[in-house]
Amino acid sequence: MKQPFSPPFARRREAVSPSGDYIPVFAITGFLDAGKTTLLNSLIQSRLREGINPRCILFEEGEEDPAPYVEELKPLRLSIREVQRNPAAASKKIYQYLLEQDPEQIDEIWVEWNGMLPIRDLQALFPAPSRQVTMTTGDFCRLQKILHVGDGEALERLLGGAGAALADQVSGCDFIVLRNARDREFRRLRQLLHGLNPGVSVLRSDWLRDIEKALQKPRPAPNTFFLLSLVYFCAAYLLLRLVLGGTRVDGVVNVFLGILLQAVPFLLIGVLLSSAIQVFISDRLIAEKFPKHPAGGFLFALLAGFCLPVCDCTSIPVFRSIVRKGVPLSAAVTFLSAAPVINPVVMLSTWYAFGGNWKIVACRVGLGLFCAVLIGLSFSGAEYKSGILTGGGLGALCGCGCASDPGAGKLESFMLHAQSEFFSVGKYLLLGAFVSALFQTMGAGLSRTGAGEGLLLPLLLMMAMAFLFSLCSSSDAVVARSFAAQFPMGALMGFLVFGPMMDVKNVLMLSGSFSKKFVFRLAFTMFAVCGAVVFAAFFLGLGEVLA
Amino acid sequence: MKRGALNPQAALEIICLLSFSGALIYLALSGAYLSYVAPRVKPYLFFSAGALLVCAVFSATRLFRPQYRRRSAHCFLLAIPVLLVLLPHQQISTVSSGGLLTGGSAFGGSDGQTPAISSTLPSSSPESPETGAEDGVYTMEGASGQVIGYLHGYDAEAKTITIPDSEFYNWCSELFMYPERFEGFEITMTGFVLKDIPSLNADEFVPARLMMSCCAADLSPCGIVCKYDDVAGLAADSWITVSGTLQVGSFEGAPEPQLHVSSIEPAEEITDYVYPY
Repeated sequence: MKQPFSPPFARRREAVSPSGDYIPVFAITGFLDAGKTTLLNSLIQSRLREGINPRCILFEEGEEDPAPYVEELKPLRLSIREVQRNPAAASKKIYQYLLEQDPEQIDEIWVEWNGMLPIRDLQALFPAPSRQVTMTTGDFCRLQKILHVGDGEALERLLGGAGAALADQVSGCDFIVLRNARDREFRRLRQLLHGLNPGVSVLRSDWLRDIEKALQKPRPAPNTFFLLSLVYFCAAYLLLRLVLGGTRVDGVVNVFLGILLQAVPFLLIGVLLSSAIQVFISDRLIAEKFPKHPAGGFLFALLAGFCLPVCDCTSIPVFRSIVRKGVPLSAAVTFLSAAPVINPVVMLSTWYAFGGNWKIVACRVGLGLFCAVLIGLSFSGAEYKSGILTGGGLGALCGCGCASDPGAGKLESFMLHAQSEFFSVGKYLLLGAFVSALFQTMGAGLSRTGAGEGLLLPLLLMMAMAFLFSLCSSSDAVVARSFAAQFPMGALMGFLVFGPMMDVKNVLMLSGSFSKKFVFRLAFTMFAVCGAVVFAAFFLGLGEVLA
Repeated sequence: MKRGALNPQAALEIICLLSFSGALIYLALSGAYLSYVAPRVKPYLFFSAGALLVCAVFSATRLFRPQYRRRSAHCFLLAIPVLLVLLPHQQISTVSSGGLLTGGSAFGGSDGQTPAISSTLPSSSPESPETGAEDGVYTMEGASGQVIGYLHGYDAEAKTITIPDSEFYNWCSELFMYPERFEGFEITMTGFVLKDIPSLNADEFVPARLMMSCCAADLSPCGIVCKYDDVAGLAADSWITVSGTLQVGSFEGAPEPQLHVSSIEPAEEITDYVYPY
């Protein structure tokens, strides 16, 4: 038997292999019948034509389609059971097989990976090369690319039902190849896949040239990219400060950091709550215990909104998780709209800001409740029951990887989930805080253009400002009061009722997990309902009662 | 199980989580957080720092777990705020420097409302003027007469109040609540010149300070309206110490304290904000 190789050993075809001295390993993952074998066969055919010498290792037992080129290479076959029962033996078997084939002669290794096995197992079989000779495949090959093949007609169903390993493959691969999906369907699936694997490139199975190109593309180095971006960021900041002058930039930075420091604690509370709901409360419990009658649902939503002394940064993650858990959309939307307006902290701060005027507090809460129920009711239509989450029907999956770790304890998946949600919602918070800091510093003139006559125009102006400035609901009352000299009470009330429900920051945070159409419709409904209700109330003389 | 190679994503996450919570703790302990958020947010900062530390500890368990697909973009969420805290920038000191949400009536209660204050219940019951419990000290009372705090710089005999910078807000709100009690007092206060806003007449300005109720997004000026003939001669946003006699005027039908200016002197800039609660 041959002695194990000690890398780096001279290889004659370095130009072909992007990983230098190591034989690149390309893995094709995907569920049974996704079209892995067909794709592998065409890729192998093309590689052979280019004079490249590949080897294949197959982890799929079921015969998919005939693959003459693959068969010709006399591939090594391993069963899923071998990998699961005794990974060490499986690893040994691959090592032996490759030694027998003479690694000096192999240009590439192609793996057809089983849809039931997580990517972690693949990595265990092809460990990253280390300096010592390990007597494993890591001595002479390196995992180069993982591509995932999905059947457009079955992928969504499979992701929703079949399994954790599949979701893990989708979220952990370098790029995705879709079969049986064109045009609109293709774009829809791509959006769905981006929910699990943000920014992943999705190709069609008939774009063979693009697939080959993607396979050869060097893998990005995220940490280098990260550090470089930070350096560029600092440079850009200093340059901007030099060009624009300190005060303008400082204003934005102060407001940005203010909003962020104020919101991060509440975002953390929100993600902790929502991942507790996600992990510790089963879908069945919600299905059984959540009030069946719509009125009960609304009451429950309003009560929950009152009891959770949270602002909008908290209620958005909670909203996301209760929608996932199958709470009726109308009740969930009611909760989302009501929670930031009617909770005790907001009442108290409104009371302070308006010098202890209970009528204004009562008016804010009353109108808020009324609007929340109306907005909720508008979403009780059946056509919005599904397809609003960018995960589509993938109820339980969230791309955080917690589903893929069946061995993980509840506490671990709680933490994993909270962390991944913190990052995914937080990036929109970051963006939202920046946009509203910009609006505030640049658009301060808006508030000085004056109110004009009547109620409608000032009302719309105040609501627009509430939307753009993204103030926390626990402090917006003070700002509202500072406009009291220029704007009629009705306009301030519009600011107070609509502001907490929806603003730039919330739109961005929601669009992270909901479809654009839904977010737009929600924001528009909230704007229209709040505007109409407040206008009607003050038109009918609420202003005199408050005076 | 064999320890795998270092997982760079987990390492990056840990570094970012630690530096973010470090930045929060630094801001909270050094008091630098007061440029961005109000004092009552402080416990929340500690809470966030703690929660993120727990996250970092948890990430440490994955430090040697192999991970094929690595990401880093999500860490910008933590890194950018930390960088911005470190990069040079100055606190907003006056209205025009920050482009603030100035409706124009934020100073005290010129909209006829009593100003917000946490420790004082707005009360309309007339009370006898309060004399200081000791020299130079004025006692604030709640609605039912209970003592809720002391203010300094008060001289009942000479009828002067020299408002200390640290009690700016409380004094303003006391003056707004009981203007007739202080009628004829000579008030001295320091702020920046706020003028040319819709709710001020041509002969009026406000020696204002910026008030933060929650975070830097809601900074708005507060102060007492001053009557002065040469408002045009005052540079907007310049810091001054104003002395003037308090007279009860009216704004949109509600009583309002107004200072009739006797002297104006340039003053050092005060970098602290005013926090109502």
